[in-house]
Amino acid sequence: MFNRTILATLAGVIMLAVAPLAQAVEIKHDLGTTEVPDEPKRIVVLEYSFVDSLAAVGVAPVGIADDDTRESIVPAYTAVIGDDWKSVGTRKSPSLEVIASLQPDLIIADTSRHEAIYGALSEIAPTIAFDSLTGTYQVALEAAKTIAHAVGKDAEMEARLAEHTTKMEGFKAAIGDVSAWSAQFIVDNGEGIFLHSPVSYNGSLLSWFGFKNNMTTPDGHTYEEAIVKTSLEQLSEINPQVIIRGKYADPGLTDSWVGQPLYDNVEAVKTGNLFDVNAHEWSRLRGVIASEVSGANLVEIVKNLKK
Amino acid sequence: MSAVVHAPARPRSRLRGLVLIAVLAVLVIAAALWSLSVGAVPIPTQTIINTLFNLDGEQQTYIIMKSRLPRMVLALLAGAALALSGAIIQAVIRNPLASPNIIGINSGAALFALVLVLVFPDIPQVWMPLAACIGGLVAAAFVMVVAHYRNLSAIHLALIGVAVGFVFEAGVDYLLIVSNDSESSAPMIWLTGSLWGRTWAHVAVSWLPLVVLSAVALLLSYRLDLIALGEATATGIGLNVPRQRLLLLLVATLLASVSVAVVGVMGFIGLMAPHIARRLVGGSHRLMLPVAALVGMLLVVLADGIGRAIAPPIEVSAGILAALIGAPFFIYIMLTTTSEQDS
Repeated sequence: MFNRTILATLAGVIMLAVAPLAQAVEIKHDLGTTEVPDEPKRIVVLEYSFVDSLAAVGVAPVGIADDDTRESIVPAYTAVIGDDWKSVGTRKSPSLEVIASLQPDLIIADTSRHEAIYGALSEIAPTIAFDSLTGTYQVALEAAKTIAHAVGKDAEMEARLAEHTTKMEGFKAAIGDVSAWSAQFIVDNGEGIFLHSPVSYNGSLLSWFGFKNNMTTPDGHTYEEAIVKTSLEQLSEINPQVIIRGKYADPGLTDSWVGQPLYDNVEAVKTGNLFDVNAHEWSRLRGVIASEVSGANLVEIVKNLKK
Repeated sequence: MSAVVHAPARPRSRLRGLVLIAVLAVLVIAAALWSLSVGAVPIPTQTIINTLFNLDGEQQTYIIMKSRLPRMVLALLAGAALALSGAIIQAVIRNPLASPNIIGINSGAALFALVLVLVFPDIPQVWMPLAACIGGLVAAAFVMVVAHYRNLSAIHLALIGVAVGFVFEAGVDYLLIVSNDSESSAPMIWLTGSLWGRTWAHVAVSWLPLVVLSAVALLLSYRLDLIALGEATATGIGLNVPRQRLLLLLVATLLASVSVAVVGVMGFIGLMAPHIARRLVGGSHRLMLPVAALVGMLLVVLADGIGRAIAPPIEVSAGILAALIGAPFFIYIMLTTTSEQDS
C-alpha cells in the first residue's frame, strides 16, 4: 500500500517534470543552453551558414541578415526557402527592431559576431549561437545537426547528411590523391589578401579533400588565426602549389602584382595553377550545401591542374 | 582663457536663462518622443501611445519598451553626463579646447575595451563596458595624480593629459592594425559611439552613477565659477584650488568613463555641448552647467534617432552623426563668439 503511494507520487513527479519538456527542446550551444519551442515556425538567422542548414532540411526562415543584399542568398538556397523572407540588415549589426517585428520563435546567431547582443536577442526570442565565422567544416556540419534538432528535423538532416557524405566522397574520389599538392584559398578584396588558414572553414575543407597546406597551423580559433591578412612577401614564403582565389574586386590586388618577380615566382602562379572561384560562395557561405558547391568546383580545378 | 571668464549673471539674464532652460527642456522632451517613433520598423503614433500607457489596441511592446525606450534613456543620461564632464574639464583646465578627451578618458577606455575583445577573446563581451570604464579611469587617474602630486598648473595638466591620450591612442591604432578583425563588430561599432543593441540591462548598471554624479556636478558648479576667476584669485578667497580641481576632475572623469562604457566613444559631445551652452547663457556655471546638460541630451537623442531613420535597417552610429551634424553648427557658434570676444 505504502509503496504504491510512493510509486504514484513518483510517477506524478516524473510526469510533471517531463510535461514541459514535451513542449520544448533543450539546445546546448556556444553561448549556453536554451529552451527552444517545439518545431519553431518563425526563425530568424544572422549568418549565411544557418540559411544553409535550414535549406538543407527544407525549412524557410522568416528573416535573414543578408547584408542588405538579397542576391547574397544564392539560388541554391532560394530554390528551397523561396523569397518570402525579410532582410534584418547586416550580419555585423542586424536591426533588433526588424527582428522583433518578425515575432520569431527562434533566432540563430553567430558566436563571436553576436555575443555582445546575445542578451538583447534573447529578450526577443530563444537564441542559439554557433561558430560560423571562425568554425571549420566539421564545426559547420555539427551546427547543422544541432540546428536541425532545434527545428525538429532530425530525420531529414540525417538523410540529407547521408546524401551529403555520398556526394562529398564522390568528389573526393574524382579528385584523387592530392596529398602531394599544397593548396591555399585566398580572398582578394582589392586592398589586401586574406589567407584562409588550416583552422578556417575553407582550410579544413581543403584538408578534408586531402590537400596539403603550407601555412603553419595556429593554436587557437580566433578570427585572425582563421583569416590571415597576408603580404606579398608572406605569400611567396608560404609558396602554395595551388591557389584558389576569390576576388571581391576586379582588378584585385594580386592582379597588380603580376610582373613582380616575387609574385610571378610563387609556385602556383609560375605553373599556372591559380584558379578563380566565386568569392561570395567560397568565403562567406558555409555548410552542407555550400561545401558541395565547393567540392564540385574543386573537381573542376583538379581536372585543369598543370602537373 | 578669457572664454570662460564672464561677469556674474545679472537678474535679467538670469530670467533669460531660466526661460532658456525651460525651452531646452521642452525641446529635449520633444526630441525624445520623436526618437521613440523612428527606426527600422515604422510604428503609428497611436500604437506608440498604446504601448507606452498600456492602453487597449495594438501595441509594440518589444520595439518600444525594450528597444527604443532604453536607448532613449541611455541617450539622455549619456548626453547629459558627457556635456557636464566636458564643461567641468574646460573650466578646471581653463582651456576652451578641453573635453573628456584631453585627460585621456576616451582613448583609455577605447584601449581597454579593445584589449579585452581582441587580446582576450575568451572573456565574455559583457565585460567590455567595465573594461572601458576602468581604462578611462586609469588614464585620467594617471594624469590627475601626476598633476596633483607635482602641483602642476592647469596648462601642464592639459599637456600631460594630451600626451597620455596619445599613448593610449597609439595603443588603439596598434591593435587595429595588427588585427584584421573587422568582422567581429561590437568593438568597432562601439568605438564610433553607438546605442545599437543597448537594453535595460545597460540602463540598470549606469543610471544610478550617472544621476548621482550629474547632481554632484550641478552642486559643485559654484566652485567652477571661483576657479574660473584664476588660480591666484581663487586661492586668495580661500579656495584650496588643487584639492577642488582634483575633486571636480574626479567627478568629470567618472561621468565620462561611465558614459563611454555604455554608449562608446562619443568624443564630440563633451567639447561641443559646453560651448553651445556658454554661447546661449554665458559663462556663469550655475546656469551654464544645466544648459550644457540639456544641450548634450538633445544632441545625443537626435543623433541616435537620425542614425536609425537615415538608412533602415542599417543604423548609423550616433557618435558619427553627432559630429556630422554638430560640427558645422559648432563652427558657426565659434565664428560668432570669437568676434564678440575680440571686441
